Amino acid sequence: MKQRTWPSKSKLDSPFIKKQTPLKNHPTKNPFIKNSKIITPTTSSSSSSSNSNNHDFSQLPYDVLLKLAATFTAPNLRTASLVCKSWFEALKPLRESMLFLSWGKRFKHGRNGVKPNLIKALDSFLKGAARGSTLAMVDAGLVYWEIGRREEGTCLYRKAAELGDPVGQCNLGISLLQGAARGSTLAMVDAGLVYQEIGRREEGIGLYRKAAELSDPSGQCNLGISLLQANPPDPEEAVKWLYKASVAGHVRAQYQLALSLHKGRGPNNNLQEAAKWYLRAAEGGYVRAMYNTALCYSVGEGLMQSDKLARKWMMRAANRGHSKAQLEHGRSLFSEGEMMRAVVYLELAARAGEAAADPVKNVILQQMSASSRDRAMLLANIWRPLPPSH
Amino acid sequence: MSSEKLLTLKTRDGEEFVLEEAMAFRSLTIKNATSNYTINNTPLPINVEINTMIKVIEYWKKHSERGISEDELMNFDKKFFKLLHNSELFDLVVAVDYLADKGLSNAACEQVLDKITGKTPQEIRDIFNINNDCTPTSLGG
Repeated sequence: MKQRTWPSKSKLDSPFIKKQTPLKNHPTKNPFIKNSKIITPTTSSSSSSSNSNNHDFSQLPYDVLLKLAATFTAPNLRTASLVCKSWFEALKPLRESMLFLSWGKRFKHGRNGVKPNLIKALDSFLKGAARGSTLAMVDAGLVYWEIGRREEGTCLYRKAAELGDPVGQCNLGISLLQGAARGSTLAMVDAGLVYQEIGRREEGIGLYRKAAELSDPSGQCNLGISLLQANPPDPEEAVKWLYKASVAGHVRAQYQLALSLHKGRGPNNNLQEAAKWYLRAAEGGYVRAMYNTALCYSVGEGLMQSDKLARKWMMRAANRGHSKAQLEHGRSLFSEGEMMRAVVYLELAARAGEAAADPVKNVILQQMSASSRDRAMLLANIWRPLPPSH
Repeated sequence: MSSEKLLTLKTRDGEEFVLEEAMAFRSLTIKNATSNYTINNTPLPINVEINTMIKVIEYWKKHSERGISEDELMNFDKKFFKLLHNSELFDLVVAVDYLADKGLSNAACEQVLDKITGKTPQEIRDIFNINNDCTPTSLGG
């Protein structure tokens, strides 16, 4: 899913842990580590038999040391870097990771005079992750989850987990469990749909809510829509759920969210946000959103005015069977002198019940020869809508 | 008797020994090497010394035992690593990284980490007998 524009506040409730308590000279309280990290003094009273370079820990190969130190926090890394020249050299990439990690945090939370920017935060975290720090991997994973790119997030948790990072392991476990829970949330949503169909709305909404709280976008979308249609409607909560589903990439939710923002049913009547979400839904293949996007472009409402883009989206909607779009597109073609194509679209619109199509359509037909008229009707007869997702 | 396939390995210092294939394949490096390797019974050379390899095999044998409990394994691991001199631990860490056995690698690395975490640089040097060759100017920070 193309995520071109970031929502201004993307605060999905995150089930993940962000960091563990720093390791000190005592057993950690983290339940995920099997062996407690008790620091034992070296047992060999006769220390290493020889200082021969082969067995000297200062000669630890760089990549081994990097893997060892992958889970280090900044203080531990600093300490390790000061042990000897060789370790200092070896740990350089991880020190760079730390820099990117701190930049990432600044961008994420907006500290030190930096405006919060989730994309830049992700970018920094990824750079840190590439240089080997599991802390950066986990933070990148958290951002990915926040913006709905779960697969990529889980992948990073897995990388951190494999390097022995307990937070990575924990979060990987949680992601995998959520994946398993998905199977059941799909069933919840389906059951909710049936309840609604047979008129037991409250029970239906209850199931949508269960699924929504387990982060299922379909559940969130359906819950949002139900809340909008409820008696009395709850637009604020509805928008909250539609937002979550939209950020997760749910196309119908994006359209519904845009509608709510457009009609001022949410807390803010925000045309630009609405148009943004129409566009996202349109890009996701939602036909009604394509039509609305075309309208926004044509009058410059929420989006920069552009006849070209308006035409593009109107045509897309028309080709997918949107009757009003067929009418509009037919009209555009007429004004451009493309009579044959215009009359086909107008005929389709008319057949779908758009009465306004008839006058213009008849004007064109009257100017055509009999054979052209036949051809136009044939084209209209054999026309089939394109499938919704492109 | 089990019709286990056997593998002959040859260490860096010239010693040859035989191992069950299933056990040897705990090492991804060995596993990948044998897949490219068509001549039967020629020993497969590995870049590990015999002393270290003995330790590795001891670990593998214990962790392949059927019916062994988590607790027993934990106790074995504790003792196993406790008895290692630092130089042996070093060799083990390097060897296991080369052999690409995730389980043993993580266990060995955890041992090293335990010794490092929460310590000052001098304390770490003392534990591992590392010379302090850092001068204030040689470190950029």
